[in-house]
Amino acid sequence: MSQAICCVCEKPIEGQTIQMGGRSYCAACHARVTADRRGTWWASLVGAGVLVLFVLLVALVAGAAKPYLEGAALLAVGIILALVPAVIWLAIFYAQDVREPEPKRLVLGVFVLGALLAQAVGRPVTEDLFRVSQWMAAAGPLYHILAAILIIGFTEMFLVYAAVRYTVYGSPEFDERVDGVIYGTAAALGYATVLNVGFVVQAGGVDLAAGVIRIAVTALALASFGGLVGYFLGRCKFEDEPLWWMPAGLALAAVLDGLFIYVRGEITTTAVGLAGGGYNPWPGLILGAVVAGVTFGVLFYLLSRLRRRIAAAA
Amino acid sequence: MRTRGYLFGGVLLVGMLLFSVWWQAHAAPLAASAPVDPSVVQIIAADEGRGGRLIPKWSGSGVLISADGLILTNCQVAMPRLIWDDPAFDYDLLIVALAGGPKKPPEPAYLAEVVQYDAGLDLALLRIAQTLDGSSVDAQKLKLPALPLGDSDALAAGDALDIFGYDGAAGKPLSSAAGAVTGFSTGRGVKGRAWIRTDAQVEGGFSGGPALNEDGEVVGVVAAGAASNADEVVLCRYKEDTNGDGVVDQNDACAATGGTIGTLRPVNLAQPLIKAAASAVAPEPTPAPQPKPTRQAPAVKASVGRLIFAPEIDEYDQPVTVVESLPSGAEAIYLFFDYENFEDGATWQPLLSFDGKPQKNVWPAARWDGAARGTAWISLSLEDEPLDDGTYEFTITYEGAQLGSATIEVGGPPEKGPTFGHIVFSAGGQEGYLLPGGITEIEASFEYANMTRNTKWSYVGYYQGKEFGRGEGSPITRASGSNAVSMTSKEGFEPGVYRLELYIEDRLAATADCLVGEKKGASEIFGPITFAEDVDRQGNPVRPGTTFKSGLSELYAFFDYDGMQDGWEWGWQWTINGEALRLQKRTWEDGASGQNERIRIYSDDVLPDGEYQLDLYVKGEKVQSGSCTVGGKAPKPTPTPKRPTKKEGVEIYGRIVDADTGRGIAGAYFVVLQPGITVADFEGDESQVYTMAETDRQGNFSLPDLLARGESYSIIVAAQGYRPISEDDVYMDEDTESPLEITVRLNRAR
Amino acid sequence: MIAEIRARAQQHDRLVDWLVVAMIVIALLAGWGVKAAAEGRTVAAEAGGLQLRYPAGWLKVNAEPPVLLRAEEWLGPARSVITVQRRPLPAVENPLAAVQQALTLERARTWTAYRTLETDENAAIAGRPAQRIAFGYVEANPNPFLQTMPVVMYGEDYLIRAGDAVYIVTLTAAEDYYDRAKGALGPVVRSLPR
Repeated sequence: MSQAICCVCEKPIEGQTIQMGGRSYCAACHARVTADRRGTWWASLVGAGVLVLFVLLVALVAGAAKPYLEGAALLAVGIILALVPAVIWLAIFYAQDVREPEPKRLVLGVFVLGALLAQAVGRPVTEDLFRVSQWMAAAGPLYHILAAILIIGFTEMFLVYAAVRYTVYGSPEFDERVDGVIYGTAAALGYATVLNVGFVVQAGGVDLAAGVIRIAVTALALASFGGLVGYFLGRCKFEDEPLWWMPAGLALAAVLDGLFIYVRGEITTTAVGLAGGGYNPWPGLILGAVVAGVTFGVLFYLLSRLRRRIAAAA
Repeated sequence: MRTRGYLFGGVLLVGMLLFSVWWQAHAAPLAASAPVDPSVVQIIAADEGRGGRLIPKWSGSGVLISADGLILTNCQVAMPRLIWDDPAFDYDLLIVALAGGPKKPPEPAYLAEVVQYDAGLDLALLRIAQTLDGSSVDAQKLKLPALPLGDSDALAAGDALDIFGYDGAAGKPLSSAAGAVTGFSTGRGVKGRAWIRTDAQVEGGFSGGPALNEDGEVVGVVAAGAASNADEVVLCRYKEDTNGDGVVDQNDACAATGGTIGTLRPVNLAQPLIKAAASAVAPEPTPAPQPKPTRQAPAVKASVGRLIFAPEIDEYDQPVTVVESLPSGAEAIYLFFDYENFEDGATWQPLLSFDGKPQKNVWPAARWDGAARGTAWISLSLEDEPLDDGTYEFTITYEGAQLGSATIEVGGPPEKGPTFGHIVFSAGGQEGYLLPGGITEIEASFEYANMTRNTKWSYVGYYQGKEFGRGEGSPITRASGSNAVSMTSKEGFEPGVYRLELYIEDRLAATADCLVGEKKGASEIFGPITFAEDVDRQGNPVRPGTTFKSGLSELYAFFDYDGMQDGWEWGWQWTINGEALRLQKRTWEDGASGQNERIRIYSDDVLPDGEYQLDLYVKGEKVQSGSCTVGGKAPKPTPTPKRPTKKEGVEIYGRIVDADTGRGIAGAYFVVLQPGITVADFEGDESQVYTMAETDRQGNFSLPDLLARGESYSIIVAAQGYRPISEDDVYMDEDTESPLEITVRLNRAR
Repeated sequence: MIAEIRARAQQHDRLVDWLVVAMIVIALLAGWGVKAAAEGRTVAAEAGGLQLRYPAGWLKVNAEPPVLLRAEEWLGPARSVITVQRRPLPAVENPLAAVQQALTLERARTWTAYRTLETDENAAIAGRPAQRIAFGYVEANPNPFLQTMPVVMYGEDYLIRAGDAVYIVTLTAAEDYYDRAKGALGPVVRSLPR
């Protein structure tokens, strides 16, 4: 009988070998894997909550004070707003340090990589190659949904996947299922930040209330679906999942991403009449908050259940 | 592993480089065109039709002679109406089409204006003035390929020539004809060579095209000269509906008129025009060749008579003196002859034999284009050297028949006998060949030399070929000086040609003709008045008529005149609806006769509708009048579909902005569909649209039409990259504010 | 042993990677199909006895003979316009060249800075031989109340002979967008009679 190797630290297992989901763990690694990482979840949920509150604040202040900004100042404010979601999330994540925090450098690295991929690949593919936003709305709902899923959803989610899969995934620091969610969220937030900054810069500054809502909604949605991809990645690493597991997870996230784009547009577009109209941003914010809450809640529930089951098995 | 990665990367890089090289090579424009002379241009005269489309009327050729856009062509192309007076030769614009490359049709590129012309020489200079859309051209930036001008006097018989031109058929590229100089000829009013004759024959579209010598210099311009009817003007004309679509326009083929041409105008004749163009002097209006009567039906036997020789001609085309022989070293011989019953279009040719040997092609066979009877001259000279001594026999042939001949001897010392010469007529304060009508006395001064007291001399006067008086000259006492004879007529001289012959001892020593004009009754001075809406560049009426539409701001009246004199007082008076305007008085400065003298009446606003009458006065006497109507039977403007007025409708304007940024969207549309058509019905057909407006750079729009109150409309707002929004049943009620400002926020597509 | 286990895990992950990549490729290809379908949607219009197709979402504008169809891409900066004309073939030696000159004469006066850039007698469009004429001009909205920039336009005429008539299919668009608009030519040309 040969010696078992821990699937996390990749060292021969001394002492008790714990089998779980068809893989072997050393005792130390198993303890870490099954540890309760409630704090991580709080980071995500609190982050989402703080972001929504921040948006409400900015929107209300902007609505009440109507600050007059122009040119560079408006642009600077817009860029700062675009960075806010990532800063909030990263700050909360850093602030609450649980037993074995993820190396902050790696989280930041994945965040930056997500941003770089968005700028170098994501935007060129969707906007320059497919020029998707130019034609998808005009062609009708079916085309709109298909384009949002097949082109935007799959591109975004694949890049989030790639940012995690080809970097930290193979490293020993990726030692828990929940790490997948953390890294996935970080990559997606990087992606969202680039989209938001790009949106602000391209428009040369934004309407503060409507702009901050758009920024927050984009960040919330992408972070949620990035977390979803990370969840599947985490389980893929630590469990013997079938081959279709990861593709299916990625496809699910892509479909949700695409649907979100369409539905957000639907619920924020209003009737036009003699009084003007055409847009109401608030349902979009509610949708974003709900999607983030539900996604992270479900992931939290699934991973907790898994952990309890493993603990029970041990 | 890593090596392989580099290798792959390297291969990819090299591949991309190769691809980009291939792509650039592929995408590069085609190589420069084969040598077709880009300096030869096509000149197209066109009318401007509905919607600014240009309808060609005829085409000819021309050549660029300066990089800043000076074009040499002939007058038949640029202003054929000066050659043959026919309103069909009016046009709005002269288009210059540049050579399109080998096998490619010429490409219209510029509009030109006539800067100099000489209808007598049939030469014109054009200058590129505008691009086709009417914007001015900076001549300094043109840098067009121009051809140098050669010296046409240096040409000799047998020299090779290349003639270029566009034969005019639509879509035909530049063509050329090779030929050789077969001779030169002189012509009335031209010192030196008036024509270059070649053995090449080209068609109407070549008219105005250049002939190049072996050095590629322009030495001649294809030209045919006068015409005896519109179809003899050498052009390529669009005048038949060749494609059968019911209109004669640019889709039809043009037809060469005027037969083939084998004559060129020497380019040296164009030099005065070019110099004048350089000094920016306005063209000196050369008197247009008068319309020639069409061929007379009864063919009477043509004849020539009184063939005389002169060593020189004066500025009135009269022989300076009459000689029977010339001394050695004489440079030119001028042969004058009277002709009768010559028909326009008939061929005639002078022949020369020298010392009994016939010379070939000294003068070209030409079509007769003078009057039926009169006096003509031909000349013989060599370039820069005196005529050879010997016997010269001149023969005039007409339609193949020899009508007459005369011989002159060149050689020996200058004669010392008495001579007369330099006859100059004067009458009624005018001097020269043309004398005013109604005169009662003509004085002819002349010069004499080598006279002795005993030399007998006499004079004979002729009117239209018939003798009407003769007399003996009073003895002349000095050897040389000037003298005069005068002829009088109590009733006044009839209009026509008068001839004076001076004899010394029965030898014809000098002769000259003069033309007495008609005595016009004052009422015949001004021709009938033509009214027109506008005037073209050549001063011709545009859209002439007697009834004009309402709303004109100006109206022109045109009339021809004959028999006026500079300095006469004249004037005009308009009467509108019976109400006479002030009598305008002027002093006449436009010469004795001319065409299309014009008078304008204009208003800063619009001319009132009604009857317009114009009376013309000369020396206080009403000599002509005419009338027209403005706004009378003018076609009513087509009624537009009823649109609500300001009171009945709602005016809508506003902004379309990006929902997220609040910034205006450029190029967004606010569309209102026809009442009864819903958004779902809309199929992207303009006829379903009631009104629509596009936003400007700031996102602002303004609907051009009012929306009727009490009506429901469907509205679509759309922009690229945004979710379109639409609404059915938007109701305009009585209380809807107008103008109504609407701000529409559009949601991005993603 | 360690190597074996590691290899097994890596092999699994690599297979998953390939599957993911394959799925992305399929998704994007399908996305390209969606794009092609969305942009290639056409509608038919009855014009001059023909059923002519033009891109959906374009606005069919009233036209007078010889223009059978005129459709404009009203949204977006491309300002693409496609027109189809039918004219009798001029009875001259080189009728298409004559038509080309006629087109220039019709346009040059009213289209600012119009000029022909290139002519290709042996071009083809949608599988049919045609004479291609490339040209440029400047479009400026004459309404002084609108703040709009003049736009440099690029265009192509395709002169297609059919019997004793010539069809002239013309596409113009803002220079920078011309290549994108070019897809509109195919359906129109295919809907012309042979």
